[in-house]
Amino acid sequence: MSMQNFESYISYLLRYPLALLAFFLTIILAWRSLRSLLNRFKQHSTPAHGFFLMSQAGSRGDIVESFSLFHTTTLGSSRTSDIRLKSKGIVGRHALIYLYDGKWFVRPAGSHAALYLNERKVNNPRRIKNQDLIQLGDRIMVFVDERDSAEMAGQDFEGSIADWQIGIVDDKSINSGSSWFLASLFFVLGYVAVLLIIPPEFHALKPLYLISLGIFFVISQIYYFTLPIVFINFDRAVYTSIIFIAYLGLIIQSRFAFINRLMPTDWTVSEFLKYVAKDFSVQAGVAVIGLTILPIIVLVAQRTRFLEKIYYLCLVLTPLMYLATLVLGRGAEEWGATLWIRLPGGFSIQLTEFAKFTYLIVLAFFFKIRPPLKTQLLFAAWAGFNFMLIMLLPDLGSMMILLPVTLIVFIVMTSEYMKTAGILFGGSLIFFIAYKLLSYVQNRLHGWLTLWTETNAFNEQIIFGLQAIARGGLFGRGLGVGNPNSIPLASSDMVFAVIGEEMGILVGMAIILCFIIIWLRGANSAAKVRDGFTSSLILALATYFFVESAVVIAGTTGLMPLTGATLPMIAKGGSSMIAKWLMIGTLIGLCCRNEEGAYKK
Amino acid sequence: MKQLMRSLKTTLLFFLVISLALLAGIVLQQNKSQRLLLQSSNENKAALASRYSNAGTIYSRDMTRLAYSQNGQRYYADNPELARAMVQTIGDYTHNIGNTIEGAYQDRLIGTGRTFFQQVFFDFAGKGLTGDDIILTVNSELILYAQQLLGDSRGSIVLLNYQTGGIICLVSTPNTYPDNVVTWTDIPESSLFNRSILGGYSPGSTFKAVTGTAWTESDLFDPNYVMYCRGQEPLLGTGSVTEDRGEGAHGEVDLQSAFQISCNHFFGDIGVQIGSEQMLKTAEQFGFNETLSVGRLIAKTGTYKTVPDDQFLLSWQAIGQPIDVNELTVSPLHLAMISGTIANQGIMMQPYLIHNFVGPLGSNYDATQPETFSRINSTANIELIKEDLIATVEQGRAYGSYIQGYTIGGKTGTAESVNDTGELQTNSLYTGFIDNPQHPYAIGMVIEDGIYDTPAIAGAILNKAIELNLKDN
Repeated sequence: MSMQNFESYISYLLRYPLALLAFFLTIILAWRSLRSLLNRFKQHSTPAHGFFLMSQAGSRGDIVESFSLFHTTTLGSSRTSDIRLKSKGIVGRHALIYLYDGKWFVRPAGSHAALYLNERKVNNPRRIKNQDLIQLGDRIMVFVDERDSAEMAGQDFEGSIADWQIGIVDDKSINSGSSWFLASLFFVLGYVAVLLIIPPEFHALKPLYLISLGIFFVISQIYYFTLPIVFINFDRAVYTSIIFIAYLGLIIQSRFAFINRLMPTDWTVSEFLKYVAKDFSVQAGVAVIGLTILPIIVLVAQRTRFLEKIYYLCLVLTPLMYLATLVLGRGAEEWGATLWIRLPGGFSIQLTEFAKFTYLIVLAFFFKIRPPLKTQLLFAAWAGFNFMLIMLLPDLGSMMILLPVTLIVFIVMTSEYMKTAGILFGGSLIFFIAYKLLSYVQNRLHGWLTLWTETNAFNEQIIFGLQAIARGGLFGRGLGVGNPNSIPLASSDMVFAVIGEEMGILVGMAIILCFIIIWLRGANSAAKVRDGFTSSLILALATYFFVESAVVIAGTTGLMPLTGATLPMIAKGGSSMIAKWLMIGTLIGLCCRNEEGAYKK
Repeated sequence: MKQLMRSLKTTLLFFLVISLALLAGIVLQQNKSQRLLLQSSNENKAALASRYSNAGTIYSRDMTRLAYSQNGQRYYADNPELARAMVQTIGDYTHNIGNTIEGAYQDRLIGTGRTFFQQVFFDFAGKGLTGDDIILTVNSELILYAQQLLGDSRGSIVLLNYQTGGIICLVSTPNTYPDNVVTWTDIPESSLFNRSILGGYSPGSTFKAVTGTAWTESDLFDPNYVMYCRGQEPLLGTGSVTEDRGEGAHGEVDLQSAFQISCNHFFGDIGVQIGSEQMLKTAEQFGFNETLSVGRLIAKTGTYKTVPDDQFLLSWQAIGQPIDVNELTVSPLHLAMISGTIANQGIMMQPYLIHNFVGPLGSNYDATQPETFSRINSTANIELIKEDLIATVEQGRAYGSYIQGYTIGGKTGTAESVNDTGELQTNSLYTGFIDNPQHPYAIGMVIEDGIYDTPAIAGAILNKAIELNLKDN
């Protein structure tokens, strides 16, 4: 495209504000998310000043022990409990004492844990006050609030909860408003930039473009302002990040749909228009549907225990989906992998995208608490079976994503560093075996190792992608000005390279920052919630998004071998897009889970 | 909870490290790709055509278009013979030939290699997507003439300005038309190989200029040294330099007469006297074994490798005929650089092809500044060799390159080599210069598979260069 007219000139210049908006909106949000998480750590790691538990110990009960209390304190017999109590009737994870809104609460950590407050059985969160007796098994502890004690003695207590909370930034204080505004502006400018360069032959499709992207924009705006009212603790930072990614995906997929498309010589114009319209409608339609159903997914994830209940289903469904792909996908291999199942009407479905989600649910369920070795081995056997099926597909991308996610969830939820090293070794062994057995893996690795020395069939995709990124520089060449035709699978696997060429490395960095934000906010929520499954699944989902994007971007830029995974919410693909909306809705919903809110009510 | 926090903190640290590595990694990979992956084979041709649709023009120094874009298409020199003569240097937009101006300077031609502020300036001027023009140092008429002189032979002619290093002419035959390269049809064998900068030939007697210089630089140098030549070959058996071969003897020979008659026996003898260490030192001062590039184009200097303390092999090396395990090669460009060094008081200039770039708004920038590539220790000694090479043209075997009214120095050479089909072939070589500050040109030439009158061809090219009265190359 040359700048023959005013429209293309304006569209070309818009790349500057687009890159700057993308970069700054994500930098601001990433910085705030990081600060918030660090404050969360600080809050949870500092003992509460003036509050503790006292207990009689020793064979004759003649020793008095005192235990510091933290923002959230777990009590139980397991080594991972903050206060470890070895006594008759105390289970591994027995009770939780936590602070909310300046008040202290206690609740049982599981259904098997018998907990008594002032000799009355406790099943739900109960507020505790000075001198209250908390009984776990045969152990009785006294909650001490030094403020009350000082007041009763007619003295002033030096220090308060307010002192302890200095420096703590509450979630609600993370201001995503400026980033949201910048993201909205980004979309509007990108929307205009594409609109200006839609060539005359596609002018008939302009209404389709305007309406579909317009609907997406309006719904996203409505949700930003209304969902926090409906869902307490709705995380606007996660929402802003994911919507920005979706905006970017729609802009770049619109560009693929309408700009520089070559009509096959044996097609008529109307056939071609129909094909392009269908192609674009599927992509935009999935995005609009995904966004529309987002509140329902959030609602289900937040208000119900549906996810916990489908655990057994997911346990069976995950390998079944891989098996179905393996059997029904035969003959539909693309780029060395069998991932699609052809459906009537020219459609296809990628069940493996949904299998990743169900895998994460099972993972979270297994590691909602630190499970005994037997349970861990059971999970290892189940995961191993799934990985074997993945290798048979072969879907190296899924392996490269699910294995690190499993490791992260395992290490965070169990703190078993030695076993993690063992799993890491096992994972390396699987890759080594895959390398030895599968020529597909050998070729990918060979292509990567020879990246800078020769062009061959196994690395030309990355080389052409890197050439495009190199041409893009900081601000890109402008939408429609790049050469995606020179890159195989430009709109799906290699979409990051096209963004790098046409929108610049700043937008590329913004994408990475978005997934960092999602992880930081996920980690924040994982630390906040007091339910192991929720915490574990939030961590799994947030890590999944980060790892998937990192694997794709590192593969596209030659930092590691290319895996065939696609960039979440940006790359072309219906199944992938639907699965990602399900996952993001679940993540947001889980982050909204709020036991304190229920208690207040 | 404390343990969960600890694990989360560790994981956060891990994620931050990975994130920073990823952010830095993509920037570094972009930067590395800008330097190393400008062109690649097998790229999509339609995409390449689109990329070059608005690319800048490549001009010769006399402003003849060698490549240009018009109406979304890329074209090469209007004169097909010129386009053909420059094909290995200019290249093609499909990147079917590597190591070319089109490929190596792609970022400049399509306008992606600019600084941020330059790009912003051009963007707001409405020229952001217009590539830069490139003006080369070559002269189109001289190129056409060299192409004509080489005719159907396989060889190369390189002419450069020895005071600046600017390459005025480089032609490599056989060659083919750029359109053939784009469509990949009718491409004669080795026609895409740029012999001028990448060829590696045994230098034959042209190397005696280096041996002569090494002799003047050695401690044993005696300007009055005379030896009695008994035969054509420098050494006839291990350790002997004096055996009488009985035919082709030159009798008493000193350095100047040895150059004039290209006496192998003399240069073999002094090569042994100089020793392998001094020979290597001087060869390296002449750029042998050095890494050479012409701007972003990869080029080859000569290779010089000998087995130490083997006088037999050294004597053959000294006359430019590597045997056994010894290695000795030069490219036509390097031949021109060698004689240029002798003409330029021992200073070897870095060769270059890019004269300057022209931005989309017509401003010249990034003009190449002459740089020294290498240097010979003694100016006085190199002057001696210069006089000897001038005498070789005026009274010796290189007489064919003599031009009335000008001082020309030169040295011929022939060398046997094994060609691609395994047959022995003789190549003809020439290195020479004009000793004139108004026309400071050095020439390097190789014509494969035959004994050619290279001095005459060199004389014709040099004469043409004088006629053209080239300025500022």
